[in-house]
Amino acid sequence: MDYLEFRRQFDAEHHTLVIPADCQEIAGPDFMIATQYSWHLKWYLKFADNKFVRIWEHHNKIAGLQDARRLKLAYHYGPIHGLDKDGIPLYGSEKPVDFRLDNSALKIHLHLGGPEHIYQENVEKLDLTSLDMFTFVRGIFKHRSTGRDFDKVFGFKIV
Amino acid sequence: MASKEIYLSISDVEEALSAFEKKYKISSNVFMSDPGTRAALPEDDVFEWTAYIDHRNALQEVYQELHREYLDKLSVSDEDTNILKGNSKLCLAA
Repeated sequence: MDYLEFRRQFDAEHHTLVIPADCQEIAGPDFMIATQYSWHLKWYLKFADNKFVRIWEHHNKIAGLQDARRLKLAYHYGPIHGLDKDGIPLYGSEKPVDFRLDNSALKIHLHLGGPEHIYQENVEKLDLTSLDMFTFVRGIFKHRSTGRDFDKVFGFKIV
Repeated sequence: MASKEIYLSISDVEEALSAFEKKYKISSNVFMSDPGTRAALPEDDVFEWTAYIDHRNALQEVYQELHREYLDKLSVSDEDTNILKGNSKLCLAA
């Protein structure tokens, strides 16, 4: 998928996203584009109870093809510990987190309420690579509105 | 919140890479080739550093492709010029 197709799909999903009354987009979605096959995005949502969602994705060209794929992702939900000069929530991997999925420096893994990495081999019923940003965001909204745990919302089991 | 599109130039990308290299006092090549180094750095910086290296490679690929196409056109133009020169000589000889 090249950038234009990605944006069409992103905009269609973003348009239908129902953002709860206690939530607002505080930055982004911003798209940093190098070529039609290489870009990354940042998007921040903040809740009234001082929690936030942070979505980062990096897409890059598939070697030898006129096509791109999501290479890196970092989807984060947790408490705000501080803000930078632009009002963007600061992030630190050592800070408490409620739920996080990323492959920034290591293979794809979950964080569930702590710094421990939970890899795919310890997660059943959910292919971690299949989780996209809108499923993540909608899942966080559902978790907040229903009080259901993340494993129930996203349909996985830790083993 | 309105979305923004920021189109990165090669100098934007080089500037971002230079900032990471200065911050951690290692080259982007070392960063990419040493998984141990990457694992020791903050995840956010690993994410962005990797992204900007990929962006640089992607931009360089496009520039090289454009340059190749430009050179191809130049060689065609030279050929056309030689044909014209040849025709002129024939005209003069006639």
